[in-house]
Amino acid sequence: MGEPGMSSAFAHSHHMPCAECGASVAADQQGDHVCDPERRLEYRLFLLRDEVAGFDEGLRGYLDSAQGRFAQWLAARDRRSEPRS
Amino acid sequence: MADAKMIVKRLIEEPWKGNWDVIDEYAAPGYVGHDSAEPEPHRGPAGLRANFEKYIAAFPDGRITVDDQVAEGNKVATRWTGRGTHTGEIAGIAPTGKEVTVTGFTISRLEGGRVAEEWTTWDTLGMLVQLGAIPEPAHA
Repeated sequence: MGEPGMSSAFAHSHHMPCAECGASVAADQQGDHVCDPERRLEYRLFLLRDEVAGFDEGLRGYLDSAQGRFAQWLAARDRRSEPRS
Repeated sequence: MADAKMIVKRLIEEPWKGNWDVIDEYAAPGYVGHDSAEPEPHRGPAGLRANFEKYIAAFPDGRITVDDQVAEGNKVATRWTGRGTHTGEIAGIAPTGKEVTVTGFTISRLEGGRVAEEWTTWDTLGMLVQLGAIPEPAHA
């Protein structure tokens, strides 16, 4: 990276994405911007996409591990021992 | 024959809507496109389409809107604004989910009702700042 003073002379953008929802907001409208809740949710999910995509694989790995197999066995036993209503 | 401004407007806007026919219809077989962001010109309708596809892959919901046009002789000058959400890789930048807005200018030279050559300059630096690839400077 060059000196901050050099880039600051040129690198201002008229629009910047909102940090909360990712929407493109003009510089003169940033004070008035209100995030659309749906867009904010979509943006957050997009940022978490790798974790979301990896969840199933992580869960499968856990269930295949000794700890996961024991947890399944324990849950099944607890279910069997619950009093029937 | 369609109006020169309309030809250029359609060639700039329509591919972003998936209307690829406009390239065959309005780009000359010997089309040459000079882009300030590219080291080499795009050659032929196929080169033009490949350039669109690269940006559309990065901004699938992207749209370009023509803001103003001036025509003189066989040339049309166009001021445009592009806006789209970054959900595909571009310039080595992994998808950020951020929406960006950039502006640009294109001068188009027409021959026989088709665009033969174009010179485009657009706010590449602004795109990189908006995507966080270049830090936003502190405001004074």
